Amino acid sequence: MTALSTTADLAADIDFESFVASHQVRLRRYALALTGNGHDADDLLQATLVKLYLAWDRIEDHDHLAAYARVTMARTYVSIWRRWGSRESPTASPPELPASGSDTTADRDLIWRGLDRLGRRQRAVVVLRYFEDLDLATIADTLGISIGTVKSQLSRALTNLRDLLGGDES
Amino acid sequence: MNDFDDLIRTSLREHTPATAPDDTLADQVAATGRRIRRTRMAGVAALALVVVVGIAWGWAALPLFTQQGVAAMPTMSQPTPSHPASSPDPSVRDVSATGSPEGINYTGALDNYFASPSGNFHCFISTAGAGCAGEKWDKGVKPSKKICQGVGSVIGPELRGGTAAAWVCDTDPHSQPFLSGAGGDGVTWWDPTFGESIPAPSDPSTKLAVLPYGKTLVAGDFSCSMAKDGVTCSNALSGHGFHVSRSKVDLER
Repeated sequence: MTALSTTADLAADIDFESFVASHQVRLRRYALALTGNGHDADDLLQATLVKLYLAWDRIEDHDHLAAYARVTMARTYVSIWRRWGSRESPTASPPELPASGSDTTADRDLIWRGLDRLGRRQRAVVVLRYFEDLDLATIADTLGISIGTVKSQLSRALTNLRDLLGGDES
Repeated sequence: MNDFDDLIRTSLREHTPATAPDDTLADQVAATGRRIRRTRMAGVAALALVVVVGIAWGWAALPLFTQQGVAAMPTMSQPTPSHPASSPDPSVRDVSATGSPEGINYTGALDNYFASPSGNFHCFISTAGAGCAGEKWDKGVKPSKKICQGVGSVIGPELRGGTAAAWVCDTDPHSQPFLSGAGGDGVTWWDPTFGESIPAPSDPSTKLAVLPYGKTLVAGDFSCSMAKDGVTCSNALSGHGFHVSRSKVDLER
């Protein structure tokens, strides 16, 4: 019995190792898009993978592991408990932003830094929409919120980001 | 699709470069996962032992009671938790049946999230436990992330079930209640006549209830009271509890 369990555990560990090897780069980029900095991205990636490891045996459809990891990471990110949310309050003094202009590189930098001004749920919606290319219904499922909330969060987020560009242009 | 959408897409892709994979990551995570599993198993084993001993004691005591002419087994004495719903005390509110559904990997209880008036502590209370996360701590109050076994960060003190209060990490699966499970609003459970609400620090577009000084929330056996010197949460059944302030955390309250 123990030998069987050990064999099963070993097989699960090999599966997990294979999953991490093939998905960690993509997941780390996703974590970076959510958190905005490498240190927090590494923390978020690790926390997500630990949860995935613990849930490994209960996930029946291993074809959807990547989707499970995406949901886990997004929800962990917007969780009230995450330390980066308290450390980087979006109501705190905004970072100094580069001026917007015809230079699209500057605009892209402006957008990236402007994401730090959004609340975590707004940022998560933006990342799921534009980085993960998910439709509104899937974003709603991912975050466990209604489609209406996704629409309103996305609308507010885009308004905030547009204001950054437009405000500096005037 | 328009230019602005493309700008956001390009910005996100440009600022999230692929990094070299860490070949040790899976091993690190698996090692942490195994340690968490062992800790869980030890907890389950301890609980099972208590139950077995309790049942054995009951069976052993039954003939004794019968001999003494006792018609039935006496009910195990259980401290009766105070339920403020039946109490006229206006400073106490029973929230056992309110709150947000759990997030993934959680226990099934309804979590009620609230903040301290200073905004420094964000707490939850449910019939399964209570805990608080601090925004700012005085130097040396929060333990090193070493207690998280190398992965994750220290959140704050937490009471879970009948066990003693302990520091928890964000990698502890049970310590991941999610605001997003609240259906889009963190204060649907909150009675505005009992206390105000503030924009949630994690997302100012949502609200977070504020438990005023001098008031108490109760959920099942658990209670949390707010005072100017910090938050105190306790389990009336087990007697365990904690007190948390920016300058000190007492896990044996």
